[in-house]
Amino acid sequence: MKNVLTVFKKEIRRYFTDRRMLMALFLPGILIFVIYTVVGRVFSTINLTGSITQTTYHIAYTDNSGAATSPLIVQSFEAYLQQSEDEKTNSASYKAILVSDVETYKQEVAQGKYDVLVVFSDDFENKITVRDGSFNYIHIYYNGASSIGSHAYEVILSLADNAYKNYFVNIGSDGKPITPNVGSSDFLGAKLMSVLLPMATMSLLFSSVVSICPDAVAGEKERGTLSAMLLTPIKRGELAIGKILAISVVSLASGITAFLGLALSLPNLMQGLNFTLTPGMIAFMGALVVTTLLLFVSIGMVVSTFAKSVKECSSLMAPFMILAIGASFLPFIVSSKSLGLAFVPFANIALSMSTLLETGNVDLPFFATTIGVNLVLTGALIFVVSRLFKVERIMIK
Amino acid sequence: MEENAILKAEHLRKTFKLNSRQKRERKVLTDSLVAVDDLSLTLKPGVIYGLLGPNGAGKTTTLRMVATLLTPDKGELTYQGKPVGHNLSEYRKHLGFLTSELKLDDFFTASYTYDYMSALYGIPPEVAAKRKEEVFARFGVTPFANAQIKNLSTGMKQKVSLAISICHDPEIIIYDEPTNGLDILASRDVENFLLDLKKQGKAIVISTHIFSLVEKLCDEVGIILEGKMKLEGTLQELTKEKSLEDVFFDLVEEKQ
Ligand SMILES: Nc1ncnc2c1ncn2[C@@H]1O[C@H](COP(=O)(O)OP(=O)(O)O)[C@@H](O)[C@H]1O
Ligand SMILES: [Mg+2]
Repeated sequence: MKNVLTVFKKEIRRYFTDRRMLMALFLPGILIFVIYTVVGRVFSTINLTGSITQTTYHIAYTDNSGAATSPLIVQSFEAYLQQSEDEKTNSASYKAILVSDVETYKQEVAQGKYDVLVVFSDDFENKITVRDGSFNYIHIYYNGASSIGSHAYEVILSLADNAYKNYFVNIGSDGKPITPNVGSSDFLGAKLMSVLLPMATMSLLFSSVVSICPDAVAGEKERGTLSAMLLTPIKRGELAIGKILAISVVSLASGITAFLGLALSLPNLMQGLNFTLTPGMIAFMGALVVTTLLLFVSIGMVVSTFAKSVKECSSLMAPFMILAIGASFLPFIVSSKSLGLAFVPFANIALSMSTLLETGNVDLPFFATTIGVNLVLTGALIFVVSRLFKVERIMIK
Repeated sequence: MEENAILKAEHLRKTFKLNSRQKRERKVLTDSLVAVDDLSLTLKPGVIYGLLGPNGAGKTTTLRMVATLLTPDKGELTYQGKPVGHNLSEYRKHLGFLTSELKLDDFFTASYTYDYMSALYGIPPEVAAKRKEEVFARFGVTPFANAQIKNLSTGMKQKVSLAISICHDPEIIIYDEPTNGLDILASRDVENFLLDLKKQGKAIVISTHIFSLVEKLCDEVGIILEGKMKLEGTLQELTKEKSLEDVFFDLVEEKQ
């Protein structure tokens, strides 16, 4: 144990005295932050309905039979605009029109011409007082691909009179669920994110591993410093574990920076793409990032132990990197996600990440399986490394 | 003479498996190569043993087996009358192994590298610190002990290497091709290092293909050709009638 600690401390010291290595470790996190923030800014300026500073909420609503001129819902929206400092300074206004053709205006919302469509069931206002047992509801359609659309949607939901609140439903008169967000999802928003993010994350994590692992064993073999250690009385296993621990800690630090970069820049990115990030999502992403990193480290260590030189190690790691990045394109291709896929390394990581980002929900069995597969593989690979350390032909140049 | 042996290596044999690339390069069809065959040698305190042979004779392989870096297919090591067997850790505490290649990590200082190696040899920090001061002073390392290795000249690195190799005060010194690639000044340092250790009563084995080095340093000589020990004796015995060079080339001709 003392020897493991000695090796561990030396390895840690090695990484923190090498400026090039430090750069390689912490650059990914900084890059993630910068890139995502910039992307977020760009997306938020190319908004569908125009610039933020001249906001006009276009609201379409159907007749609710009974409310005199403008329905209560629109009135409450007006009140909100008057109260809200924020909206005042942004000189926000709204235009509301009474429509009857629901399908046409759903299209208009989808295309971004209208931000919200409020649909009341027939004879809505009267049925509130005279209950006849029939289905009385309010549907709201909005364009999630535009920040104005989702904002208007949220405002209407939150400001609605208590008497109305119970009538907001996502079920149609035929009993089938409706999708309030009619913004074309394949446009910018979630779908793009759900592919971009896993890819960027996977490649950045892998590149941080590619920058430390080759030196750890292959580099020491090349320089001859490894055999000096093999000649000392310490056990090979102790040497292997000391190294693995150190690399895990160092790349974990690098992974945490990458993750911080991600967490700090996501709100910027989301603001442009209209996407809400909950603490839960951040926690799940964190678990995914950390276990993925451990898996990559153990792959890197096997390759580094096996390779004879830094160069050989880097080139042997390339196929794994391609696999990992290739897998992150999978969410593009795979639409139905069976639990079986959760057992496929790399693919499961990308799919878990994309589901999380696309739907905002965690598919718990799939997610847990992915984490499990990551950890089991990591354990197995660490075992392989400690065995390889005892193979003469691999360890001695 | 046999009684005061500190280390006996007996009937060592080592074969290497050849992969297809190695077979092509060597233009052979056999899957394995016998690098060392039935080779024995004995090391004694205060004696420098020279393993003399051409390139590819099996010198490095032999020394690596003695140093436990390679496991012999056959044969055994006996340290202080006891077989080493699987008790490698204990045996390694008494071994110092050096080669002409410098094996130092660029990013550390000489001082840190010394401390690290001492720790791996299980030397208590206070003992190590005291010895470091002594050894560094002896090799003239003290002035640059706290500079990063990468900023040192080859000569300086050589001194650091020598100093660190004896951090655990080993009884046995194994040095593969000690003066290979060194300039005359560095060579002199190495020669003095070995003679100094001899004076301290260490058992030393070096490998070389340089006759003059053997003549200058060694008390005993073993001539190795194609993995086999061809001739062994004290330098005096071997060079009674003819020069070491003639002895060697006669052996080579005899073979052909
Ligand atoms: N790891 C190895 N794999 C295959 N062949 C090897 C290996 N190491 C050494 N050899 C071969 O064994 C023979 C002896 O090598 P070596 O002990 O290095 O000789 P020397 O040190 O006397 O030059 C040579 O033919 C060499 O090519
Ligand atoms: Mg050699």
